[in-house]
Amino acid sequence: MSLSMSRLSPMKTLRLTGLALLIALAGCREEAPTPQPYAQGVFVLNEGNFLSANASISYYNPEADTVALDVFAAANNRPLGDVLQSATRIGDRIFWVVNNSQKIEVTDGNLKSVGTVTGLTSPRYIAAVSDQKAYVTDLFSGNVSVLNTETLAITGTISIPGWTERVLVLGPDAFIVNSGRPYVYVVNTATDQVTDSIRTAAGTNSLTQDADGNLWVLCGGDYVTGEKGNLYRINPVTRTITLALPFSSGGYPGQLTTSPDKKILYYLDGGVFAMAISDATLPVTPFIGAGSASFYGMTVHPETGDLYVADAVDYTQAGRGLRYSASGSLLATFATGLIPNGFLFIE
Amino acid sequence: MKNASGLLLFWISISCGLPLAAQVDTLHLDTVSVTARRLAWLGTGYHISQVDSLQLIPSASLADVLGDFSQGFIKLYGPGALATPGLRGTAAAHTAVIWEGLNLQSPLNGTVDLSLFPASLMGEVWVQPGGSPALGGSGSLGGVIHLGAGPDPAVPLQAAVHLGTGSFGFWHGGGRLSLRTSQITHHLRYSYRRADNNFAYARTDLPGMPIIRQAHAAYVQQGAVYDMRWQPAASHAIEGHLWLQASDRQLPRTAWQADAHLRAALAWHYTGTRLRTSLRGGYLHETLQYRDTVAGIFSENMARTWQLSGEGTYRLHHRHSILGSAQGQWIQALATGYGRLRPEQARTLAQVSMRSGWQHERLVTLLTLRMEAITRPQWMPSAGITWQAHPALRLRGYVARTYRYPSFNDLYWSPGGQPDLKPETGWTAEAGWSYVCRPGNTILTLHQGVFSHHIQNWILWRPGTGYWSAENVLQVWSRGLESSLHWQRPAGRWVPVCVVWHHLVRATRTAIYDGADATLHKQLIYTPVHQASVRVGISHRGYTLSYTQAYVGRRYTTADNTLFLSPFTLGSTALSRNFERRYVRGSLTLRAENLWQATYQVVAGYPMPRQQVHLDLSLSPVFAEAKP
Repeated sequence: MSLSMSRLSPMKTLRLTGLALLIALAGCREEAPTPQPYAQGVFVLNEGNFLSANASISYYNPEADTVALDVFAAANNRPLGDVLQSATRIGDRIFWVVNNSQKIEVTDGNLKSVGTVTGLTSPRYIAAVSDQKAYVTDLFSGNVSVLNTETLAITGTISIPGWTERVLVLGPDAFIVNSGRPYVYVVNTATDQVTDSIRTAAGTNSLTQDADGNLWVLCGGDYVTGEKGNLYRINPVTRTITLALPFSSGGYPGQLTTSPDKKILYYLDGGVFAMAISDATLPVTPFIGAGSASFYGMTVHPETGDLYVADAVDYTQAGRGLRYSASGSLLATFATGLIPNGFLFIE
Repeated sequence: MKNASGLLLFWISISCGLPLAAQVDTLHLDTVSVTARRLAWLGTGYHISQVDSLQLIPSASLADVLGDFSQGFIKLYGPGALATPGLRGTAAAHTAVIWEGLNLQSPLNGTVDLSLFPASLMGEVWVQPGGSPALGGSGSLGGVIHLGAGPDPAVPLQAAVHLGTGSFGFWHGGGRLSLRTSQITHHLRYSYRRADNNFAYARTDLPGMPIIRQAHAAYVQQGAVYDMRWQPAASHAIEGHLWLQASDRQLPRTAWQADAHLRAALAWHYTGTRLRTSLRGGYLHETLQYRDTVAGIFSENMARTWQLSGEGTYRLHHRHSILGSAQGQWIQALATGYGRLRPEQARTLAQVSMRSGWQHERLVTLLTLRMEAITRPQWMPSAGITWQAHPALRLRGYVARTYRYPSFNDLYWSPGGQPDLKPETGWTAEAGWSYVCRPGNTILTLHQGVFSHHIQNWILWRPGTGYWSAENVLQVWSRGLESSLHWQRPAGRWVPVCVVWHHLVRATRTAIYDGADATLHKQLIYTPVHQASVRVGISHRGYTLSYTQAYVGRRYTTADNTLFLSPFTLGSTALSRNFERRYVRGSLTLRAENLWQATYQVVAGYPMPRQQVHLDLSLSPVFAEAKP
């Protein structure tokens, strides 16, 4: 019964491949999408249930108001994997970080696989820091991996203890938030060395830059200890906190981002909250109320400023995408896969 | 009658070699164990089936045995991994497991892990689908699995040694020793099981779908059960039971889970002419340690339960008997997830039942009212009827109100536990018939039943702002049809057997909680609409050959039924040889499972092994007194 790849005969390999295809079909959905070129629209990242290997990518065309589900599987005849955490376009490739499959799927713009990065522990986000180099953050490894985006080889690691999350590259520095420890780490992208750290608060989860060049860092808090969230404005040059805005409720805010002109900050805290970068206090009422929805992800269209909000409903059924105008009006609702957590706009 | 007994023996000898299968039979009153007697009394209207003791394959777990038993779906995360029951579309916390009057559902999460129950430690196993407050109490909305020590041995000294090995590093060793004197009976059972679980499977989400080996999924478990029964006088008996169980499992990737259980029960029984009473005391202690060194998670969980109960049955009249019982229970828990909280819970219950037999016991009725209280009392009435309409035809039915108290995790987990949760409640009803005929040497048994369960306030963990919370939100209606056929026709020394069963379960949500919820009238996840099995076997001069083909239908993995696992069918076969020499008797069984190399998943994301082979050897010394 021993089955190691080196000892497999061609016949056996053929048989196993057939069986593997059967396994691939073992997890199914009702509708089978057809592969297609994607010239415009938005890819929806459907995280799927942890450990169930049912992550997927769906495609929404806002012009035609059409949806295609599970388009990665349609393009590659195999499932995507377990927990699609994030996606980043680097050059003409898209890097899909599949957290619990410990891999990054690399595709072209039409989702055809061009490679797979394996050997990661629990990857979360990827950010390009130069033409051929990207950083991959990780939940458990205690390292940020350095990836050659051409060869897809891991060329090194940067030791940062704890749960490294989102990355923002500003000039020669990468600012990396740490959800496990109350810090933003600063890494020199030329040397791949940690050069500084900025103490924030528990649950540091997202960051962005505003029109004035300031760095904004959102901390969700800690629902175990009861520590509430905080929003910080940081001078990225002096690396000092210039404004601290503590949250009064313990809702674990996250998903900090900005409008295209970088003058409005958005974040999720149940509903969508918005504030001008000049505001000295946190907004009290949501810009877009969630009602009974479970807002789980949000991405702002880089040109129109439309807000795409992911509703995971109850995390056990297909979610919804909600498209709002920059003024907060609901423009469209569209179907997604299971547990949508973000959007990638097709350029 | 003599002929029928002979056929039954034939049947048992055939069953011995069948792979992980079990005889289904409606409970008869002449069964002798304490558990069986109680089931016969309070199970009026239910179809209660016994897993034949010879079919509790020593090397198997209860999950393996019940997985092929025609009473429900076992949600199995892999060989030796977590296995939870799902009777008639209900959840894992809706099947009670009762051992010597103690409910073994964990107070922490409300479930049982059937992988942690070695089959060889069980003296007898009964499966009772359908909610029953009278027999299962809180947590038995879907049904009850009853475990017991079994009847006393027929001879003063019995012993057996079991050895087994199989694919993927599986080893089993165990034994049984029974001693009987004029007043005292001792049973001691021991089981050791281990497996590497390093089976090959296809990593389908990688290019080329490479075949890799399952890693970090080994397990080792061992347990021992001691049962003692002392009968100083004809009317008095004292029983003691002790069960120690330990398990250490790797969970794929980087986690470990260690479970340990101590279960003890002491009972005094009095049997008079009209009055029969029992006093019972019980203690349950469970610990669960989970650690993941990569994720930096270490959690320790412990629960202790003390229980004291009394029960009396009094025959009022030649037709009527009444049963009254009272019970007090104290539960204490400690869990990393509860923070600084050390929750405790006191439960009291009282029950009264009236059993009446009419037409020389051909028509039996049972009326029960049960009250169980933590803070506010829950009143649970039930009624059952069994009618032997014809010597070959038995009709039955029942209706019962069922309930389940929230688990400690539902109440106290931080964050998200809700101390003010209401109990899940529901109504269950069932009607069925059994037809048994014996034309010539043939035995034909047909069984069919329809059921309907309504459950309200089903507890779900739902996302809130920042974390998930337990809520009483789900309303479910589960209904279905269960059918089975057993046939055997001895012809000389050849005994062919055929067993067929089919379950149809439609379990749907009957209410939604907001407009975006698309789950109304959708099938519950991991509840196959169709499940069926066909088994054929033939026995000849101590040799038995059998073949089973089982089918499990589509199982939805999302509540709106957009994702599902494809149906699968598994073939398995077994060849066994029973033998007897001057000083020893035994059996040697070779089993092959998943014969046709089906690739399937019971739970999404958890691969299952392809073809497996098991070899089991059981040896029993033949003592002089034990010879027939």
